[in-house]
Amino acid sequence: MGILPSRKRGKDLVAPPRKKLKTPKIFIFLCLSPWLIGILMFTLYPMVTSFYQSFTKFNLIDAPKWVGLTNFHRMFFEDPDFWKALRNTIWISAISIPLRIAFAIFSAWMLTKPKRGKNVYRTIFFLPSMVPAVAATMVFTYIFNPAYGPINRFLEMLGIKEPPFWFLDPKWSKWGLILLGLWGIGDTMIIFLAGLLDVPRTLYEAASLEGASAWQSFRYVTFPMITPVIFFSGVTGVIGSFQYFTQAYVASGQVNDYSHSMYFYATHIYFSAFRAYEMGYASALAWVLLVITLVCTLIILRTQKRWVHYPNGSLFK
Amino acid sequence: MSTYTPEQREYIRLQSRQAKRKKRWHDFLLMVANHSVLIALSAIFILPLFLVLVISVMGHGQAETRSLWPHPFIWHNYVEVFTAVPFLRWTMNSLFVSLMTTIGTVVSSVPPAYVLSRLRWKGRGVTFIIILSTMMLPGQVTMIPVYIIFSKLHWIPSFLPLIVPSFFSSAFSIFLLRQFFVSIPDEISDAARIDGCSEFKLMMRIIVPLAKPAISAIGLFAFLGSWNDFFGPLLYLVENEKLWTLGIGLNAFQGIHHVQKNMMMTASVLFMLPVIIIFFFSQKVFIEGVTLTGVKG
Amino acid sequence: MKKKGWLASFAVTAVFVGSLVGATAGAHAADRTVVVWSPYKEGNLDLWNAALKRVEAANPGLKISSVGSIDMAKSLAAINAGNGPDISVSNGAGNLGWFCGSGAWQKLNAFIAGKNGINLKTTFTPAANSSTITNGVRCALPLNSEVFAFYYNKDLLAAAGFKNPPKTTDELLAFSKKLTTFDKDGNIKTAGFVPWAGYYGFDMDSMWLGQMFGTRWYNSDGNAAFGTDTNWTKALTWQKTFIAQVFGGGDFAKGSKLLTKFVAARGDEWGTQHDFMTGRVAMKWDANWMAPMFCTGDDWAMADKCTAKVNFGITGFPVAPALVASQYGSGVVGEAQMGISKGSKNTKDAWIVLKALATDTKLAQAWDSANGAPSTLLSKDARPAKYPDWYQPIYDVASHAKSSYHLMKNTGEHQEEALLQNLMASWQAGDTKDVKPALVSLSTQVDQIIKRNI
Repeated sequence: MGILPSRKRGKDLVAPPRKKLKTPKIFIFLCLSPWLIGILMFTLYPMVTSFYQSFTKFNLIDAPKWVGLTNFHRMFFEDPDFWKALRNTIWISAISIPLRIAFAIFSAWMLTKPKRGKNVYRTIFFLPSMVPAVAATMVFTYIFNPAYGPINRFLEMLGIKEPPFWFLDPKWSKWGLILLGLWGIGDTMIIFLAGLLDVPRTLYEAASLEGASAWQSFRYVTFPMITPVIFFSGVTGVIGSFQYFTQAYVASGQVNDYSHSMYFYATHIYFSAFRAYEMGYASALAWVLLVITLVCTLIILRTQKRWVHYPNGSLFK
Repeated sequence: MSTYTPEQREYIRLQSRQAKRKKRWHDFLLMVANHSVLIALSAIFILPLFLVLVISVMGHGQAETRSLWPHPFIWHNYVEVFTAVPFLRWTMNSLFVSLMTTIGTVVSSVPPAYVLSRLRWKGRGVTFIIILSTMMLPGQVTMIPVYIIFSKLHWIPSFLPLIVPSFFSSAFSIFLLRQFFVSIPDEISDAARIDGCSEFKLMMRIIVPLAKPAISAIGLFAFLGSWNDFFGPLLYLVENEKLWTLGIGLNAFQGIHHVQKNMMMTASVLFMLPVIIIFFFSQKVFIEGVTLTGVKG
Repeated sequence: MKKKGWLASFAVTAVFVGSLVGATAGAHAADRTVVVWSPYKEGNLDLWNAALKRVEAANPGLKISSVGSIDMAKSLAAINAGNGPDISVSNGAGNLGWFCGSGAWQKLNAFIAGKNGINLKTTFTPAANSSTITNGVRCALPLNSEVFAFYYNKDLLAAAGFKNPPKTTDELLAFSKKLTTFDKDGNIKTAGFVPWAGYYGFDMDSMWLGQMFGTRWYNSDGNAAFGTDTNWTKALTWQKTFIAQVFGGGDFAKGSKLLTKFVAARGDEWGTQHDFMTGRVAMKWDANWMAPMFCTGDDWAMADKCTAKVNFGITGFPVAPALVASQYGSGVVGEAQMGISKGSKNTKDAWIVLKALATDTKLAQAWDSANGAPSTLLSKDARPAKYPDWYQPIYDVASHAKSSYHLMKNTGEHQEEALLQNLMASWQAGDTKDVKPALVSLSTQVDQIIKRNI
């Protein structure tokens, strides 16, 4: 008894083979052209040029002058600001990326709990991440000001005798920036929320049948299932935090950041290029940044097989 | 088959009723606990917004005294901010740049996403991987030569360096749209092609209308990205005050003679307001859009 | 999007884009037009434009296009982007190293020595003439002076038993001890004097501190002197002692912390909430252009009599005891400057305008009357007929032989000033424990910067 129609039976039982339409090459090319032109003009050409420029001394007015490895020598041996910027960037990345992921998971996890009012909470949690960075930074530097900001007043009411000076204290300013980043956790949180909601309920049911506690259920069911999201957030987090600029720039402008506690790699590139007009040096800095970012991303990529669990088996389907 | 005596049956019923009651009580406690945490978290997220609102209507002297409630409410701040700084002009500038960027992004990102998802051709996979990898590029590497290109074109300062590149596709938008297009069944396209529909018509008349949610999402992201953008205007607009957008204006607020701290908060509120309003009216689009990025690859 | 919508938005875009491109292209008109950018606004811009009109009248055929409200950073950015003005004005005295050193302003030596040149010695004040950059290269002409002097609250000093302002740094410390009061929580209520990087200061606190001790910025061999001139160590050590004794009861860490809090709560720089006006601080270094605000509460208007609450006096900086004879009565004096941008298409006419502006006694006199900015011109016509009495000390400070700005070299955006300020900030916060090695390291850095910029 044949369930599947066989070719031998006749045309009426088989769908006619699909018309093999030729691929409209011109159409494809036209559609891709904005992207193609864009990538040539705004990505490829600048990359090649900036690579060349990193070996030159170039101030925009005069023609670039070849100086070989001088820029790199200066970067590593004569520029304390470079090391300060690099240290600050690595420090804030190492602390804020895990913190943000943890907080995002926690908030998203909480959002899966209630039966009613989910949307209201979700809106509230997501809202701060929509706020423009400049406005958010100004608000934070204001409310965290030790002299006239309400936050320290709250802290004193809670019994903390000498609350920190936050942005005005080099030892605390980066924590202020981290808090600012955590406040805007919404966009990361939403991705984790989607990831959490994608975990099949059957797995949870199976776990509870086997008597798993809430923690065990999280640790052995939820967590492995969201490792792809953690991976994604980790990689984008690394890339993003090495380019961290706006909040630090605005915050340092609000206080006199003499100690450069909020001076990051992107800040250093900006000042070298657009205040000191040392385009060659800035290009060299940018390429070193690219290498560092690549290395970090590769490390995460390399290790992902060990800890990321893919329902489909691997990253590249 | 098991049999129970009526006494045993009654006992079991009692036990399960008690168990149910216990469970209900536990569920209730859990719900209270969950909601408490959620409310606490909500309070933390709302606190800065609440504070900025409150400070924005304080008098200048009071704004510097760590007060938590205005005495009196100076609503006039919201009027004064328009005369103290060229707030309206900044807003118009931001609006113009953001609108144009949105148009550019949508117009230039739909076609590439379409051909990457609805057609099969050699090199499609490679192209997609290239697009993905450009998303990972630190902007600083291309920033300087791009700046030089624009400066040689004498486009600095003007809006052009911010608007023109948006007409050359955004990798992120292509990615998001492609993810959505892929989910539209092939049969629709096949049926149209068989009927003799040109590929262009197919894209514009059939697929695009189906993809309204995704297109709205990237439109919104583009608008917000531009509205919130600080670095671009910092590089390309700062020389001409008439071109300033809200971000640069707000940052330079204190340097502008005689402007008070409380008004800085007023300006911040006005800067955030459009975003918050747009967000409330289009939450679904947002959240679906973000989810579309599909983190599983 | 429907077709109509497309066309409409495209049309709008095209029109807007066209007008934008047109606008930016207009900056480089042809022939004898000289584009002048200045940071001036309102009343000052009117005076400036009036002077420009005089230049046009004296040079038929020459047209001047003047744009105000453009500061140095914007001018430099435009010059570097290729669409800068012919002449730009820098308000800050320390920007010479930035503009001249980077090549943004053209060398004027040839113009000055040429047919239509200027005899610098007989035209400008000695302080103005000393603003050159390495090896006598001149790329700017001075406009008007900014004078940094010592302000003191007469009432607060009298209440503490002081009839005259302090002359030496020792007196300054002693006076401040008496003038400083604390509230019941132990926080500083009134400060006698605040030697602190970042307390208002315009990032010049370290410069002023050095000035009190007669510090040198460069040696005769051209190298930075921070590590070799012992006066720097003396100055910073004095600051530490000051903070410890005046605010910390002998404890530096305590004093530093209290002062950090005090500075964080300072009133707005512009307006009647300024600490000096509310009496929160009794003595401070400050600029001549803050005086009108202290006088009447209105920032720029020069008045004959002062109506604001604070009864203040102006005098020269207190100095180290050994320097009283030679240096007391002086302050830091810098000049606003203007130069011809690199890339200017009409340098001959730009020079005509430049020279005319620099030597315009009418402008100098009007400016002085309006802003209290002493002219850099030696000519008597450049001075207003009468000065308000309370403002006279500014002129005394400006004309003192030892009043000047530090020597300037091509250090980019006055990086040596910024680095010095960072050092002082780190020192006062207690993060730098040993000041001598820090100063030596600063010298090395500055030397590296100069070597790079040659």
